[in-house]
Amino acid sequence: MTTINAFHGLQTSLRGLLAQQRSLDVTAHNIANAQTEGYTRQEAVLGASLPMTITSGVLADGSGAQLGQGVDVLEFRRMRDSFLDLQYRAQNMALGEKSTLADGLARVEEQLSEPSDDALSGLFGQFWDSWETLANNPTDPAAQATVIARGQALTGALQDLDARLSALSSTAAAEYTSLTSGPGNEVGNYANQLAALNTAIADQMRVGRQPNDLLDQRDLVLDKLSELGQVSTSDTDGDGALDVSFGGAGTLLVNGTTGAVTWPQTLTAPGGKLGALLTLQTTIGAYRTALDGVASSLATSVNALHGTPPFFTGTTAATLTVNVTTSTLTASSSGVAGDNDIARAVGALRNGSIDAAYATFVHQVAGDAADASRASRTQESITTTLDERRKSVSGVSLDEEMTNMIRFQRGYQASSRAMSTMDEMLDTLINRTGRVGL
Amino acid sequence: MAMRAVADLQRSSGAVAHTSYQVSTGNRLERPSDDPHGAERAVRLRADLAATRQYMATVDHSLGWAQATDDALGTITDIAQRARELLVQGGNDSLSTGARSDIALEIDQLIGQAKTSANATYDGQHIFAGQVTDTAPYDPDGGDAYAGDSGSIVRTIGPGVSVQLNATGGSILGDGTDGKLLDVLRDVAAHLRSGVAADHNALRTTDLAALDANMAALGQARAEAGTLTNRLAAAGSRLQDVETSTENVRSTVEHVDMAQALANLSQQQAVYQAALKATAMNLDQRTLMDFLG
Repeated sequence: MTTINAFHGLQTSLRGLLAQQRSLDVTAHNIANAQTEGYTRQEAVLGASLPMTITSGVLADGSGAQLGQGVDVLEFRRMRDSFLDLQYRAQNMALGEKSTLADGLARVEEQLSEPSDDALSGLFGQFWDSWETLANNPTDPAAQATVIARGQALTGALQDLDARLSALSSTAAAEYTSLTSGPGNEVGNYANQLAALNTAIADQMRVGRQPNDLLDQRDLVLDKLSELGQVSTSDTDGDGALDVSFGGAGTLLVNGTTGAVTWPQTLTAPGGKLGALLTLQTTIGAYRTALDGVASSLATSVNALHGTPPFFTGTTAATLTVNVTTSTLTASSSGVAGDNDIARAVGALRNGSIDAAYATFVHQVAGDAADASRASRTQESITTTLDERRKSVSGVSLDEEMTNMIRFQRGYQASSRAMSTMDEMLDTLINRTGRVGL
Repeated sequence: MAMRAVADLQRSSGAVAHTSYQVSTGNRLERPSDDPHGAERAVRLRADLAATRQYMATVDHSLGWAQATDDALGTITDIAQRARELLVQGGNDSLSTGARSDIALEIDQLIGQAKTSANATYDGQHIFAGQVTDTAPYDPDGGDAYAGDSGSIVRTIGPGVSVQLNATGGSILGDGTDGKLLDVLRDVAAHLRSGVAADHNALRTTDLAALDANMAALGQARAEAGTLTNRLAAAGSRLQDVETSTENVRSTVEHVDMAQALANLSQQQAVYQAALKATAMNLDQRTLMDFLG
């Protein structure tokens, strides 16, 4: 006959007390970290302990009854949906890309300040006006001086716009460089942090522990990295250390097996904020080319009519300058005082292909900026929704933790009451049994 | 929930800011990307307006030129009329040599006046000199040579529309040898001074006929100047209409409908206030802790 130790019940109750205490500890941990960024709530997973088989009595055929041994804390589970993490990182990357692009293009369209009389479209109009005024009095020195002055205003404005676009492109390039190379660059920092966390997590998991807080930190770093570019992770050898590849680069950013960090690398289409910075430079380059086209068309058309010396020199927006003075400016091909055929012909260029090219340029910039802004707002909405869904799974709800606290407190009280009952029973057995007649 | 609330508040206050801009400046477009198609249209409409206004200025200038032409031609016509009276008077055989001589003197003066009229200028340019507008076409005190040319003065009064403004002195007064007005008047003066009877006869016949022909040509030139004025005035009035309608369209594209914008503004502000209140209530959450013992 297998007998149960008299103090067996105390052990069971003790296990119960300890389990409730651990659960309460976890609840306290959750509450303390309710505002921590990237924290995943944990819960203690309790499971019944292995039962003991009693081979006696009622079930005499030897199969025996199984007496439970109480409760064990099996693990501290991290309430995290890794699928939601993948979705969030993808959308966060799109958000980083679209919001950066929207900001950049908004700054580009600010440089145009159209529609306005002081902007390029107004200056074009004044330039054509000055030629037509010259046609009405070709030998008037004031009219001649005005033509040259308006021409210079126009070339000055073209140069200025081109320079500002170039500066914006350089700013984007500089931001890209500061994020990806040089001391203190963000990607490098994140990569090093990931490598360190990989090592720590792998060490812990090797001895069978679950390093929940380290895992939280690593997920947070991956979230931040996803804003900069495309992040994909895999755990090839299952030791808990992740292989991280970033921005579609050839080599892994962080190698989980060897712990090696490969950075900087050149990225062609990284997505995210870095991808947007590259796209912005290309887009601004296209805008500058279009502006150069307007300048070149202006120079070619006016020079063809003006003859020698050419009215403009230069073929790009940055190099276009007025080449004539009041003495070399010609209003007519014959040179006779009242003849004005050149002046009239240049005036007739107005609202033709040159102005149309510029209007198309304005439309292009405005349209791109509007599209980017709309896309960015939509993406923000999507990303926020996803983040809320993530938080609903792994965020701390104070109401839930309060309720749990009550549960565990009552559970503790109940176990201790069970222990007190057994204590009294033992007291009866030990101190009051066999004292007949005393 | 707090993040979403903050995002919504920002969006709401952004809408209020944009409508405030529209109301305080009257512009519908705060930046081109608010309406890319509208921004392009606005640029094109402004260019059209600038062109129309420049054409109107040219039309005004041209009207002035035409007016100066008409005035000068009027003076020359009066001179020719006076010359005709003198010619008729001088053709009378009963006049004495002295009287004829006096008439010839007056004819000479009339010739000088005609040349002075032909030297008229507008906007610093000689209007009867063809394209040689910086030189006076005639020397009032000297010979009758015409110093101008036969070039045209052309002005652009619309897209692809140009007009010729001038009548040349060479075609009206001539150069003293070509049978035009100056030549005829010189002949008249010479015939008056000569003692030959055949010349006196010519005064009544060939000279009178020639002067009449020239006066008819003057009448023709004045009619042409009148037609030009009418044409310019009509163009000016058309351009005025175009300017008004283009400005209206531009205003529709660029300017905000103030009544609509004010209504939007008060509605958006109300929504923003309500959102602020709701957020405050939401964030001031009570948790279970407030209700447990």
